[in-house]
Amino acid sequence: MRNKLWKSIIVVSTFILITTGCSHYDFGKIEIDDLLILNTVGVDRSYDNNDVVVISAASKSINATSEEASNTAGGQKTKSELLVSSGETVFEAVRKFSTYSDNRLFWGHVDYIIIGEDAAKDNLLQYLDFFIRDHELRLNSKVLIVKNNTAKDVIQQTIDVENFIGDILENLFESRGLTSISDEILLIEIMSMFDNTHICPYIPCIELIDEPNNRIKLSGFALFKDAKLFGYITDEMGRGFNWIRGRIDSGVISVKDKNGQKVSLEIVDAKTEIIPIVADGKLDIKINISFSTNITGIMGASNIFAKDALDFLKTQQEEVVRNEVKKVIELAQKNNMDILSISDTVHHKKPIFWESIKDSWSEIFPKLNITVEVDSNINRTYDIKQPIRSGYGVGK
Amino acid sequence: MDLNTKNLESLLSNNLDICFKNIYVGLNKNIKISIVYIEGLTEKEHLSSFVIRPLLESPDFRDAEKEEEIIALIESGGLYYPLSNKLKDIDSAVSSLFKGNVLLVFDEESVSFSFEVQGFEKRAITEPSSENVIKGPKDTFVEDLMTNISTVRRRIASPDLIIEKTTVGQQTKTTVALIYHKGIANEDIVDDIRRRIDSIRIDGVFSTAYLEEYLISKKYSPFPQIIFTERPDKFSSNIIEGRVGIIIDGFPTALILPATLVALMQAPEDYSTNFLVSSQIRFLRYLLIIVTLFLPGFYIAVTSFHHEMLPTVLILSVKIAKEGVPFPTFLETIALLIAFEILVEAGIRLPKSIGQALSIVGAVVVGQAAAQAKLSSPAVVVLISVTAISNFVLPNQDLSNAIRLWRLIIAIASSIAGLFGMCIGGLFLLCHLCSIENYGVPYLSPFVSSTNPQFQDTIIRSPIWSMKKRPIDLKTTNKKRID
Repeated sequence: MRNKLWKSIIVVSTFILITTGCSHYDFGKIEIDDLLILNTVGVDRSYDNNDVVVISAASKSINATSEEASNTAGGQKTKSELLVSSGETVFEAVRKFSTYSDNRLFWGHVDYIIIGEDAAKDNLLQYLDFFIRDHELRLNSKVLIVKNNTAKDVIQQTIDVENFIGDILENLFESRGLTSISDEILLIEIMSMFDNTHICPYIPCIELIDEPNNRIKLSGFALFKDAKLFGYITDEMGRGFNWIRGRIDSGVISVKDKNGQKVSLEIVDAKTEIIPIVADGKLDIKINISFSTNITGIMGASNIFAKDALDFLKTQQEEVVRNEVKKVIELAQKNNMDILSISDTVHHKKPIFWESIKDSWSEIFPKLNITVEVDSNINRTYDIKQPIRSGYGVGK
Repeated sequence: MDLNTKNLESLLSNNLDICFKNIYVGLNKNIKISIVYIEGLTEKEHLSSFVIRPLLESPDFRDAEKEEEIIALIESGGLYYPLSNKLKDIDSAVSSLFKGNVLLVFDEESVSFSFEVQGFEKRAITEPSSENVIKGPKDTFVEDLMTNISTVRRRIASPDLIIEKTTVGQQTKTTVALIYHKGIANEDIVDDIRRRIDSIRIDGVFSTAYLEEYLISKKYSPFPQIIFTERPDKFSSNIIEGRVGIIIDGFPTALILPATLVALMQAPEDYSTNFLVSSQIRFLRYLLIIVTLFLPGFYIAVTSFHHEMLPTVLILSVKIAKEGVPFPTFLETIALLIAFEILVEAGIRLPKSIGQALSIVGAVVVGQAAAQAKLSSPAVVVLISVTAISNFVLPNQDLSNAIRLWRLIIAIASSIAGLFGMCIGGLFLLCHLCSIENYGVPYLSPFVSSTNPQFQDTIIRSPIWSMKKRPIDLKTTNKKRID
């Protein structure tokens, strides 16, 4: 009996070992060098013929080092590839890649999904569905909207020998905290935003700028209403939006001091709290923002380091922030778009009250009384206690 | 057969090295004593001055008239030699003779005395060759059993240290010493080992494996279930810990059992360096055992099944390395693993000088050339080197051999079903390790102990003063090692 068992084990394992090379028994095995590892995917609306979708897929690969290349400084150079395909649906377009791509496209490393403006205006969800549904793609890939352009153009114009769109976007997101006008939003976050009927989704947007030539700028947010692109909030408003979201890392606030000279302040620490207050069955929202800044530059020579001068600067910077925030709230309430996630906050902090008002949220939100309270302080002025040239009474 | 010269001669006379010599003693010089010894095993100086001379010159012996008188005189210590045995049957006489003893045979009474006057060439105690330490004793076991026992005895000066003698081998009659500490080692374990040694019916013991394979419980396992050591200090410390030691005559390696995986992962150096430093090294060792086991399998799984598991930048460089290589990754990996085995095997029996040349040609030249000729990707070469080097970190060679075998199994499993296969392989290994139990001691103890697991001397080494108890799983009679 035991002998028989051993014999059968040997026979079975021999077959298993011998047939590992056969494609029929590969259990999903694919060699790594047969793959084209995609990093960035662009999705556009197409108006040609029947085709609706254009997919552009960018892959980065390090050039197989020739002998000379590896000897020179830098050694490896990046070689990027851009494939474009179109079809009636996203999946059809994706499959059509295989008609001319010599490698199997691998979607597991897609970090960025770039949506062209036309597609976003059309209906974002029908373009995103494939990326959510397919098992190879990851839900933590980042989604971006291209402002005033198509995704294909953006990818095409930023891919050359030295640059690769994926690297550029990675760097942009890495340094986004320095200005805090945009943010990184993952596919899964977008899914949950679209699932929530009370809030309006927003996705970071990029635009192609001419000066310096063909650079991408991370410029703010694209706002969506009913899965369609509604508009953009960029630059200052983008930061105002981030104040409410509590996603300010740093940034520059320029104010004028009493004498009219410009002072720039660096935000070093920021905190936001949205507090729903229910009084007599009526909802009020209070947004508390507190932050601190450092003085990083003075354009004049007069001394601003006296207490009253600093207090003046403090109120000035609070004013700037309040204005930024107010503009965003105004926009949101005017268009009845709860991009501020206020409904979410109410839901979490006053769950029972939320149940009573959630059905009429779209009527409540535009009339909501939202007060903004800003509190700040100026932490430090770095080593220079007085402006240069002020010591001998020049500015006094 | 009776014990007399004639019979002995008929048994042994064909041998060149066996010497028979008759002397006649007594009042009338009419009492014949046959002296039988083996040339080369006997110290003839001692024989003549301490045995033959008193027989011929001592007044007591000169006045004796009968054999009985002489026998009585020898029994009462008439000869100047401390060790003598009275033997009455021919078998014991012959085996005593082959130990290097001298026999005095009295034909009429059918009695013989054996004197331990052995004197043969021995190797001197040298420095350890495979278990080197920087701090610590530098002596080793040698081939001679009595020398080995004496080194152990010197280290454990306790009357409770028991050294039992048995004989193994139908033909060779090899002496085997069973060594344990009566107050510490578990009686049942000792009894069990003694019984198993006694039940061995083989021709002879020509290598330690002859005994090992009879003494282990899990016969079909590559994992060492007995600790081999050439260091008397390691041997003694294990005896004191509650294990049982076996020294075989003629082997410079002693056996310690029962072994556990944890014990095999300990190196003698661990206890002579600072506990923090050696804990770090221990931890590294456990980490590397996992690396050396799973790395090739993991690489195969990740590069041919789960491409999403590597970071993007890493997968790009792996892909570049793989480009242009005609073989599938698993073939590459397994071929290199086997190539490494070949290198190790080829290097073992070569003289040292050629061995070095071989490893340079094998590893550097062939590896480099294979990568350049695109026969294997440089990534795999690096990977196999890391695997192989990690393997050498293991302090026990038998253990690292077992790991090598399982590494191949796991690599094949991953090449069939990716990480799933790797996990299945790992699971099989775990099941296998869990199923090993020697003399009631689980191989994976204390990791599998349900009550009071002692982790002081496992992945880390705690300070000596904190290891208050002996290993619980050895079920020692005396539990505490620090009062």
